[in-house]
Amino acid sequence: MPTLLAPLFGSWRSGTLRTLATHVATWAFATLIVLCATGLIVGAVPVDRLPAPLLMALGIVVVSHLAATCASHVLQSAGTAPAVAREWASWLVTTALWLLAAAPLWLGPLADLGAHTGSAPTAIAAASPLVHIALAAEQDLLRTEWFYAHTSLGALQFEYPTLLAVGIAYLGGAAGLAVLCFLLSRSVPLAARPPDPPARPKEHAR
Amino acid sequence: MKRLALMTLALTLASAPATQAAESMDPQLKEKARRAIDGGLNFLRAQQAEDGSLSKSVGITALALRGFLESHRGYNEADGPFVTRPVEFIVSKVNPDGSISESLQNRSYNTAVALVALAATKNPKYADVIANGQKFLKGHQIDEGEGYQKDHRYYGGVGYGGDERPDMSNLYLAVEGLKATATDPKDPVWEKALVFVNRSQNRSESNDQAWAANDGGFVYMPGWNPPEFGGKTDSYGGMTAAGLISLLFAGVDRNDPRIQSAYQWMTANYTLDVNPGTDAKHGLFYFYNAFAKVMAAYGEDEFTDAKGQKRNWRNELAQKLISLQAADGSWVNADSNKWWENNPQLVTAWTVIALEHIVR
Repeated sequence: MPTLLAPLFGSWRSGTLRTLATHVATWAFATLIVLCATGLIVGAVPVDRLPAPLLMALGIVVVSHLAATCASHVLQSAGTAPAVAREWASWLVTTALWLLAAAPLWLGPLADLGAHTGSAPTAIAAASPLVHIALAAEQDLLRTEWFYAHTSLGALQFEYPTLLAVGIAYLGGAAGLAVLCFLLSRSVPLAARPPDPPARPKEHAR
Repeated sequence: MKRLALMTLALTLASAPATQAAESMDPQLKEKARRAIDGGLNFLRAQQAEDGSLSKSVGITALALRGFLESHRGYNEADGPFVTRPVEFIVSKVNPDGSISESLQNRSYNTAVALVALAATKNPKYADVIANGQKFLKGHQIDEGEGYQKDHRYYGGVGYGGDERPDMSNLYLAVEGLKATATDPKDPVWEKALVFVNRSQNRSESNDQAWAANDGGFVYMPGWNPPEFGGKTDSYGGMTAAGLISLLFAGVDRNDPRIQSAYQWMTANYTLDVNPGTDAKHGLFYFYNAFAKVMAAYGEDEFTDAKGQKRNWRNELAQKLISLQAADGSWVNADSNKWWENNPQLVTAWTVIALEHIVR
C-alpha cells in the first residue's frame, strides 16, 4: 500500500536529480508514516486479523488516488499545466486525508460543544480514516491511552460506524469518483491541447 | 442451583452490614429517598424502548434493570414486561466470546454490569450466560494471556473492552460483577486485580511505581488521570471510591492499611459539591454511585471529616440526591457531559442504585 501512494508524489521522469531525491524522500517518509500508523493500530493483533484493516487501508488509498486524479483534471481544465496540476492535486488530497484522519484531535472541542445532541461526536469519529482502519482491526482507537489523553471524544457518548456502512461508503465513493474522473478527463484534452497553428495564407493564382 | 445459592448468599452477605446500619438514617428522609427511587424508576420505565432497552445500550439497560430488581418494591420478572423485556434484551446481546454487549467498545463494562443485573434476577435460567460472562471478564483481564508480565503497569487491570488500556473504573465494575456472581475467592483474578489496584493507589508502601505519593487516594490508572482531572497523579473521589470497593470486594481485610488510608482520604476530602479532590463536576454522579456503594460496604454510617465535623453520609447524600432530582423523576449532570453524564437514563439508573444503597 505505501508503494501505491508513490505515484501521488511526483513523476519518476523528473528532469533533475534534486527533484527526484525530493520525491524519493517524500515517498519514503509517507511510507514510514503509514507503517507506523498501521503498527500503532494493528499492534499485537494476530496475523489472521490483518486482512480486514489492510483491505480498509487499500480502500482509503484507492479513493485518495481517484480524488487526486479528479482534482488534477479540474486544475488542468482551468489551465494549469499537467505536471503542476498533478502535484497540487496530490498535496491537496494528502492534506485532506491527514486532516480527516486527525479529526478526532483537532475537532475534539467541537465534539464537546455538540455532545448534548450526540451527533457531533459520532460524526467526527465516523469521518476519520484512522478510525476506519481501527474499526476493521477491532480496536477502540479513541480510548487507547494516547488518544484518551489527547482528545475529549473518548469521554463522550458516541457510536462508531459499522464496518458495513464504512465499506459501502468507500465503494460508493470510489465508484462515484471513477465516473467523475472519466467525465472530467474528456474535458481535459481540449483545454490542454496546444492552440491551433495560424492558418497559412492562401496562395493567389497567377 | 448450587451457583444460584452461592450468588444469593453473596448478595445477602454484601448487604448485611448495610441493612443494620441504615437504621441510623432519619426515618422521614428515608421515606423521601424511597419516593425519589420510585420517581426514578417511573422515569426509566417510561423511557424503555419496545424491546426493553435504554439508549440501545446493554450497559444502561442493565443498570436500570438492577435498579428495578434491587428496589424496596422487590420487583422481579413476575411483575411484567418492564422487567422481562430488559432481561431479554440483555440476553439477546450475548456474544460467542461470552461478553454481553451490543458493541465492541464497551464489552467489558457492559458485561460487568449485565452480570450484576442478571444475578439480581435470582433466576437459574441465566446461569450459563453468567458463567460465560465471568469467563469473558477473567479472560479480558490484562495478564500473561495478552503478553503482559507482572511488572507491567497494565497487569491485572481491566479496560472498557475495545482495546487493552485498563483503568481503575472498569476494574471496579468487573470486580463488582464477579463478586455479585459468586466468583471463587481463590480464583487468580482477585490476586491479579490487586496488583493493578495497588499500583493505582497513592501509597508508596504498597505501590511500586515511582510516581506514587502517600495520601492514600486513588488515580484513574497507574501514573495517569484523564485530562479532565489534570492528567497527572492526584487522587480524586471517583477513583478512590472505585479503589476502595475493589479492595473490599477482593477480600482484603477492612483493617488493612491500604483500606484504612483510602478510607481516611475519602473522609478527609469529603464533599458532595464536586468530585472530591478536584474542583470539577466531571463524573460527579459516578462518584455518588460509587461512594454510596463503598460506604455501605465499609459499614460505617458516621465519620469525622477533616474539619472535625461529624457526618452522616446516608442522610447527607440522600438529601443531596433528592435535591437534584428533576420533576420527571430523572437525574442528569447539568454541569458536565463527560462519561455520558448528560444522558438522563444512565445518570438516573446510577442515582437510583445509589439511593438503594443508602436506604437498604
